[in-house]
Amino acid sequence: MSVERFISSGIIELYVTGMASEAEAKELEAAMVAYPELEKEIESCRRDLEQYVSLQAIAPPPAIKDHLLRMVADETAKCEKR
Amino acid sequence: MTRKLIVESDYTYTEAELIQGLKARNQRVFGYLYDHYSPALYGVALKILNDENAAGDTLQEVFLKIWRNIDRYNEEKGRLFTWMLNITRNTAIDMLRSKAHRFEQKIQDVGDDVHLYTGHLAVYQSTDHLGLSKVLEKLNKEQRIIIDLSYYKGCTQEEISTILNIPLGTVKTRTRLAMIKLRNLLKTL
Repeated sequence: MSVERFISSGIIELYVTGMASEAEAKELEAAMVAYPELEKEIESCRRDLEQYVSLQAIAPPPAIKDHLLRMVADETAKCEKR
Repeated sequence: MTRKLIVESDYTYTEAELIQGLKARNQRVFGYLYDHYSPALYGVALKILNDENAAGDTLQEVFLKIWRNIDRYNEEKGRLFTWMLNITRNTAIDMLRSKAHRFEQKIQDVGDDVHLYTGHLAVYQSTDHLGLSKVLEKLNKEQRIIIDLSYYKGCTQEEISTILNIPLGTVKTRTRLAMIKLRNLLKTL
């Protein structure tokens, strides 16, 4: 398949949203190696989807951060003792 | 649940510095990473799970995975944010499935979470709310559902074909058209 065909087939959008079948994903990944412009197109599509996702950001409850930082500090302390 | 993020310092790390800091087990860098990326990742978890407690648990698990598995991150395979988003989606979708959500629940969740589109938006980027309303206003419900079901709910093409009652081939063309529309809308922001 040519680059143009890949782009117009809709496979990039399926791939980026995670809906591509295993066979489709493999085909696209193989083509990416051969055509760098295809890789660029996929990355650009991915960035757009990520922008859409970022628009829906919501601040999490603040307690989560404290808890996480404590867990990470404990883990690090344990590793250093060993 | 909307709160302003408290960023401890004004210093901004580049992506390379972030990765380096995480690999060096720098806890300050980890805190910075959390401040900057947790709203986006929490938003994803909340959209997938539609449950604040489950989303909070998921977020915590995600950041522990990032901390513990940073050595597995491969810069050649994509940006850090992409990697973190994938961890979040996978963790949340696993949790969704482990909760044995019924298949129909997925559809209902997408229909029901209108409040997520309109309220509870993070204020950490002042343009967010405006941008999102602008996008959602112009994206029709069907286009939104197709993107949300695939990206957020992890539905397959076959599942979407069943949910929307359209042929499999149409799922492909509609996904493409929905993404083209979305991408054009994002350009106008």
